[in-house]
Amino acid sequence: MAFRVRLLHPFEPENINMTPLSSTSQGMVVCSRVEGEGPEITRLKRMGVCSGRPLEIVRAGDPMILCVAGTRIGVSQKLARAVFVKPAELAGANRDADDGDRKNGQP
Amino acid sequence: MTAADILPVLHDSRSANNGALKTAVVALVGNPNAGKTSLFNRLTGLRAKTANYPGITVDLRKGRMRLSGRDLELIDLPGLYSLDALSPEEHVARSTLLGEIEGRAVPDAIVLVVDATHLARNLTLASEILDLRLPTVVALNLIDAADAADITIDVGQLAMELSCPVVPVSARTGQGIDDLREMMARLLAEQLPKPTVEHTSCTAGCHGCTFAARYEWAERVTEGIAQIPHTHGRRTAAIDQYLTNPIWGTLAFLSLMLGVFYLIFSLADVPMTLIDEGFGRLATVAEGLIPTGPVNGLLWVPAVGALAMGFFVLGYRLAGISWTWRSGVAAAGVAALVSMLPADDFRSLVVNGVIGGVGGILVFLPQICILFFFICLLEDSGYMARAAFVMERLMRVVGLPGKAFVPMLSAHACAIPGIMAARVIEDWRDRLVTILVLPLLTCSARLPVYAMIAALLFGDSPQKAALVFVGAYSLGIVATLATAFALKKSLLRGDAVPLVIELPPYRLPSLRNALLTVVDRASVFVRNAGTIILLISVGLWALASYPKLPEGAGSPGAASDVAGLAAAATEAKQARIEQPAAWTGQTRAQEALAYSFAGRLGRLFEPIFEPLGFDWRINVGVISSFAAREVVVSTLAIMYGMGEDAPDQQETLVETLRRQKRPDGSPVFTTATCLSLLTFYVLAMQCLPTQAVTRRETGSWKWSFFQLGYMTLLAYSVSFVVYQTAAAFGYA
Ligand SMILES: Nc1nc2c(ncn2[C@@H]2O[C@H](COP(=O)(O)OP(=O)(O)OP(=O)(O)O)[C@@H](O)[C@H]2O)c(=O)[nH]1
Ligand SMILES: [Mg+2]
Repeated sequence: MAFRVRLLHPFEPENINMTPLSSTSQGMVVCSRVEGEGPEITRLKRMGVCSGRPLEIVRAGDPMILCVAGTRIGVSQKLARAVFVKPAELAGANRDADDGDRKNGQP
Repeated sequence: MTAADILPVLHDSRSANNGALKTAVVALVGNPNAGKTSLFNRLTGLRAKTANYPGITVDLRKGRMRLSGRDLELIDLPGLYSLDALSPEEHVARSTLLGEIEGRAVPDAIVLVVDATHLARNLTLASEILDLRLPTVVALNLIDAADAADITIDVGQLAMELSCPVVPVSARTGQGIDDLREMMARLLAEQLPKPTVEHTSCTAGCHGCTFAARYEWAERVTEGIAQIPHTHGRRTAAIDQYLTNPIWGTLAFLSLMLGVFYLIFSLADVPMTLIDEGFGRLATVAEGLIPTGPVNGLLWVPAVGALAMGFFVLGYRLAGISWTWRSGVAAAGVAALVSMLPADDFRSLVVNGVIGGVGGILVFLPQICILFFFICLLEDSGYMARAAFVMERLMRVVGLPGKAFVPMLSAHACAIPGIMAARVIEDWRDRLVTILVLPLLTCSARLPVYAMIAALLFGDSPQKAALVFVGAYSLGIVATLATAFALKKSLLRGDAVPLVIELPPYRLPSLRNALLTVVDRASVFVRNAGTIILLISVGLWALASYPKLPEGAGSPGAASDVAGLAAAATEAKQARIEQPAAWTGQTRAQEALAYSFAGRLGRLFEPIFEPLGFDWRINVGVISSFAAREVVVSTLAIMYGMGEDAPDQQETLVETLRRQKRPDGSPVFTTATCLSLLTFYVLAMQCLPTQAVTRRETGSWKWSFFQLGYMTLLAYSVSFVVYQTAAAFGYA
């Protein structure tokens, strides 16, 4: 099941613009997915980097600086690779579809 | 969700307890940097003490305060981002709130500290805490800073949204503190309703990440009640432009740390001298007070026994040891033993064992305090997070997080504040590795030893002597990083936990808070490390004093009981012959030390340390500096027949050491032996206070012993290689 989801993801229309946070340079984005689990991922999520939340990339690099919910946080690249984002303009329209997709694992 | 499920049960037990007259417990909860500690200091003043929960040491500050005739205990909990408890500190905060700590119920009330300048983030945690449904009052802190930033907050509306009372306060200016007290009193008198609202209403969608739902709720509330100007946070952003830059940020960090170090060493100089002199004078006074002639046993024994017992009462109290039958018997036994001592021995015990031992630790207190002070200022100003940020990449190479860098720098003054500063590292394994490797860094107690060896090697050339120091420091750093790397690849396998760190806004730190923190940490150090050190220094005193050299020592009959001893005494005598005749008092000290257990151990260890190029007298130095490495200098002075004051005149000490010959006529302190001794002192543990603190911070002696074991092994093997290599090149 999980395998199928991963295989299909790139072909979903709403996922075409999705990139890992680690290779996004600057500006406003919306987080659409955080992969993996464990304490590091929880640490990231509870700082506000979780699905559906807007993020601002303040400084790219390793570690990078994000602005989330009015505070700045430093995140190392290793974790940023687990976060998938899309540009803020595109996010609004696709949000519901994205949520559904994440929940059910199918279109 | 889970918390809410179990809470009603816990809550009942709490109300049942309330019937009896007990002091209410109120916990301060909130995000890191929300100002909990500042508020705690405001509310309790100086009536605070540091408490400690079982397991890994997490210091919790507790304080008493009186509220409308009722005593209550206030607890300053560590900062939280959520109840998930991802660090030992958060775990303690969580278990306190959920009443999971044995023997402690859920707190009777909570003061939820919310940073008014970061409402959205703080309300996210607030929603989780309010869901616990404990009696809560919200302290909307930093209201002065919010005013200054033109943030306007509708407090009434906020109270409605949270369904609990909200009091705007400023821990900095004292504004609103009285209102907060009054609200706390009403809360405890159960005049206020408990929060009832479910804060993660499903308006934003009930799927996916629970944090997202809380954030959305918090942002919606914030939008409704607060007006935040666009310029908010500009200043911090502008400073961060430089301080988080990979190049400028690193440079700024290094120069700042150099500055701090310069200040530590220059500011600590005067108090250290004063403490040293003070203890010297105290020793003289004590020496004068204790009678020299024969004493009346009927008076002496009970008097000394009572004195020793009083000492134990004080010591147990300071260290927080309770009086069980075991600790009681130990105290009474030791007191009885001490009261049997002849007056001469008792004097030596008081002067050399107790006063010398305590003084030896307290000289480092100024450095430790100054270090804590600066660390606290840097933490409060918000800079520490930037330091961790810029160091992250470099430190990750050896498998440690960026946060390990500040402890490592601190350890260059003293390993103890370094180990205590390692608490900023959230991940337990990363923290443990940092603690384990810190004592390899060159602390200031090693400097006298380096100085002695540098003078021995290159007394004539200051440049070359400076190279000895550079080499020793570098060896320490390389050993630290390599050991950390090795530990992360073997015993405590795993990469450093990747960085996620809040970069808080820059704030002007408060001097008062910094001073209170220093007092707090220093007292923890003195009470915990101090008592253990005292015990050990008395133990080492006994090792170096017993058995006593019989009267007329040196005569063959006196030393005949142990085979090697005759030789020891003869050799000691030989050394004496080389000295001017005026030093007979000192030679007696030398012979006494050679005759004692310490001297015998030195001989016993001869085959072990032989491959490192140490002779038995150096071994005595190594053994006696087991508790504190700087002691080796004065021990060597005694062992080579110079008296205890010799280290003050370094010239003579070095001259004398240079003249020493082995039985075969070759010099003792060859280049190879000096290098090997230097290496040994760079790498060996030899600091009991550090071990006591390691035990405290890791919660078990296991890690202290591991530290001692691996460092001794490392020191031995590297010194072995150094000596054998140097000897092979003809430097022996
Ligand atoms: N202007 C202003 N600054 C404050 C106020 N309260 C705290 N601060 C500052 O905010 C910073 C953090 O305060 P702390 O009291 O250490 O915060 P804390 O909540 O105990 O932080 P952690 O122990 O890390 O969780 C310090 O620099 C304080 O001086 C306030 O009411 N007004
Ligand atoms: Mg605090």
